[in-house]
Amino acid sequence: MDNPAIETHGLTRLYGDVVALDHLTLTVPRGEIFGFLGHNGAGKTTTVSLLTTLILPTSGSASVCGHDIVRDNLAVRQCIGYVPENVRLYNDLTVEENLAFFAALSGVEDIPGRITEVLTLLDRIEWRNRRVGSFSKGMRQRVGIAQALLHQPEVLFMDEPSSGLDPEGTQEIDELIVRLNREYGITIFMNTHQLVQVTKLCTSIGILNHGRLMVADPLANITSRFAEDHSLEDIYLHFERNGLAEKEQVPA
Amino acid sequence: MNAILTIARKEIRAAFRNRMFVTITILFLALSMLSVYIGSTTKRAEMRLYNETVAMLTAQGVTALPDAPEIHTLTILSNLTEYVAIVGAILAVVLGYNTLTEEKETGGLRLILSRPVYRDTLLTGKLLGNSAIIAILLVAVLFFNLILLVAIGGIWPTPGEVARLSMFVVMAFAYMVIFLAVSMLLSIHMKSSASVFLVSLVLWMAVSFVIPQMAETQMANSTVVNSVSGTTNQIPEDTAVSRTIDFLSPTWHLRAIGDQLLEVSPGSAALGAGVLTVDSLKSLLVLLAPTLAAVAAGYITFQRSEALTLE
Repeated sequence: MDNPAIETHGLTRLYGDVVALDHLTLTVPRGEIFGFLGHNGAGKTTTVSLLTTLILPTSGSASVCGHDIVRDNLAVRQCIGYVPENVRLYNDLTVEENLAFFAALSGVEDIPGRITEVLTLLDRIEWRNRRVGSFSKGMRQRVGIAQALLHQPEVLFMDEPSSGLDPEGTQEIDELIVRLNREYGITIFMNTHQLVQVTKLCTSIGILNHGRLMVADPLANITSRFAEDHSLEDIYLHFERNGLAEKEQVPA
Repeated sequence: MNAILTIARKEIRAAFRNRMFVTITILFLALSMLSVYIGSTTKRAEMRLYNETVAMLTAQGVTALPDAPEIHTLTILSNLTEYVAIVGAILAVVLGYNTLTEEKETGGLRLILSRPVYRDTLLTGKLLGNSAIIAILLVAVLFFNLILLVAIGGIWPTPGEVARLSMFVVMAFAYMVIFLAVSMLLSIHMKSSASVFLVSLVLWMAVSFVIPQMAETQMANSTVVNSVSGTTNQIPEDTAVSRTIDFLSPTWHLRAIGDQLLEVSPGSAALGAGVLTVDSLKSLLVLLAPTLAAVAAGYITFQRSEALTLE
């Protein structure tokens, strides 16, 4: 059996006395679109920062693509792509120059060819020679996704991918996420607040509250515990408050 | 090594598209042109005056003519020292102040560090790229000045003068890199680009103006009048204090070695290659010391600071 895409055991992170992430134990199988939900400050970004090896855990362990995030951090970085919430890149450089920079850092061999492939995948080949400084948020977000795909990652971490985008932009990003997952087999780990997006895209979800994982399960399993008239918002709020321990009390 | 060069190339490309940097670079080049022009016209006026005097004296039948004024070619470029001390330092700050703060502000740092790149690689690449920009600029200034010397001044410098000028460029590089390294260090520590810029400029003003002024004031006050003979004597201990204060200023060191290399200091034109080389090496070591300290502190801080990726 394949290694899971992401696996954590008791992953904990403190900032001084503040517990940002509290013993997170989680498995995300390959091929999933995993939606990570939680209120602001719940620990979602800390989790992504740990899994993308930007920061070190205080205790516990985690692996991404089978590589330990502490001992084998360069291998982890080689197999992941990361799209932050606000992609800004280098304003004075063109899209091609920005992408070439990130491709070179990831050791991509045929950089011009790969840039063409990625921009074609995004249907934005005409942006190649335009300066990023003149781009809108939605356009930057797409370039941000392009930079994350250059080295053909196995796992893509996305922080609020549709935050601040108009409905058309959101739809386009959603369709791209599904394509990346279905056609290219990329596992997506997505921090989001947008429950509509979760319902549309995610195959499984995790809900975090004050650093503690309240539930992590396939979306179908979670929704099946509730009566049909419960919205995902109700379900989210229920789990955020009560966790899985009180699932028996859920009115079905 | 590839990642270092990739980052360095990106820094160079981005700098030459940065309006503020390009403006200051043009100013720097324009000032050196002006410097050669003013230097050349002054020297020409000096020679013309001498020739007119000689012609007048000869017409009057005077045979004991005055000696021709000693004109050292490189003194024409003596203003370069001041331009490097002022505009050069600001240029280095402009290159360095945004090195990491921009990426902290835009989140670009997270993108880079989520790639298979070590933190020291990132810092080395940035330092290398920005140092290369300074080197490119100074070499351009060197050639520019040599061409202007011929074109405006009508003077062909000797190999020895070219060597002195080249040595001066090395000193200027070492001086400018201090401000690059310090502003880079500040950009690791501080959150906003504006704060880094401001603090870097304050530090530059302190070492360029405040410290030399303090030394000068100390020197001016370090004399005592002998009540018996009525003569004024320098107090040796106070002079040593004044020199120590000066020693803390890289700008003072640049001016001292610059005056020697560009034949401004009395007798410096007659100095041999050996003396000049030894003096230049001493100055180079003194100028490199703050850079090495700032770079070392930068590496240590950057390796340890997780906050950088969370901002």
